[in-house]
Amino acid sequence: MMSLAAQKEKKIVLRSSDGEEFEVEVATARQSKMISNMINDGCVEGSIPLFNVDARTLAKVIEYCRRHAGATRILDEYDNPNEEIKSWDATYIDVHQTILYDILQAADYLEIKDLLDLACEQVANIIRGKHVEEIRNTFNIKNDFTVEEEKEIRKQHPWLFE
Amino acid sequence: MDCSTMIPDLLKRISDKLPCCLDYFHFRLVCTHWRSAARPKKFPPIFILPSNSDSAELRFFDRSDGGVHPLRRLESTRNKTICGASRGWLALIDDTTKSISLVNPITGVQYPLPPAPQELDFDFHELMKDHYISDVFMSSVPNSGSECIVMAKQSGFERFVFCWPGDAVWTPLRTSYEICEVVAFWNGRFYAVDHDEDVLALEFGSRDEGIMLSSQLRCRFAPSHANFWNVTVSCCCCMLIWMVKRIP
Repeated sequence: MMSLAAQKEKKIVLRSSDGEEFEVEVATARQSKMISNMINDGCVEGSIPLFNVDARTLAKVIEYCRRHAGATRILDEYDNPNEEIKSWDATYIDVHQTILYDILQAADYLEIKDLLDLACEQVANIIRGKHVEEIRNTFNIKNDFTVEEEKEIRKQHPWLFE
Repeated sequence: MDCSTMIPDLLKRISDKLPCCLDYFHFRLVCTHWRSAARPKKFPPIFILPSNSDSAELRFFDRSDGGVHPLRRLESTRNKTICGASRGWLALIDDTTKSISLVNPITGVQYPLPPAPQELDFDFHELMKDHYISDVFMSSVPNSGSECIVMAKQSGFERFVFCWPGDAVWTPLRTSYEICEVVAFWNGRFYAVDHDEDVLALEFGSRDEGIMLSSQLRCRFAPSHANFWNVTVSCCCCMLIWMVKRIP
């Protein structure tokens, strides 16, 4: 294993699905479990192609990883991330739903657990307190229940329906 | 954002972050994809908290996440005061018209209940007219297809009245016992507790026959003791469970 300082100096290149290349520090790249495994397996010669992540999303994900690579050691005595990083996260994830959705998919694909948690929490925040119709409108989802299915659901939760 | 194609594992992760039962239910009603990703879960009941009738929202306490949440007041619950709750429905008195209705606070569906009688027995009942009933107990929800009988406690009295939703008037419950609380409905009978700490089983005849009360069964379930009276009865499959609490 390289020392932390050496890891920081060494850079690797990530290539987005639309062909843009991003040079990042190893410590930043290692926030992704998937990339970290690739580094451990020694298969990071040249650039790493990420077929499922476009440049806009990758830039945003790297921003997160860079901030957290520098912050992983900053935990309080109960192992909670400190207030500063929490408020940074809150600002970071306060994005348009399209970007949020892309971040969510990318965090899942790249196996960045904390970012995945953060993005899921944000989607949950958007859902909270909303009625079904509002959720459908917000996420642009069509109600695809058949009449029979709706009837069955109504039977299960009569108090939720007219 | 095309959430209808989101992989089920991600949807499950998101639904797991919705500890409040209403949010979870709404999540599962969005579309078939979302519904299959979030499995059915059981939640403890929610508690509607007292609130001013002119407030924009109702508030409820949800034991599953320990939080107090707002519930937007739908048109049918606005400017009305809660005078009882049963099986997820609220009995509400309109502040202006004094009409009484049964409202589902989630969907806004309402059924009219009879108004307070014009003539009340005592003079000081002007106040009672505004708050005619103080509690309700229903045999079933009004939209389930089962017969719904609403039992209501008259404010300030140990007296009960009942009706079927849509009735023009409340019918007094004529019984020789002094009922203090109606606690359960099971297998065609209401169960009530009287002042002698006994449990009464009250059975109604069919509505068409106009029979008020076809049978009253009284059973002594606990040794008479001044400290006992707060009784909860719940139904579990085909068994009634009596829980007697000693008032400290």
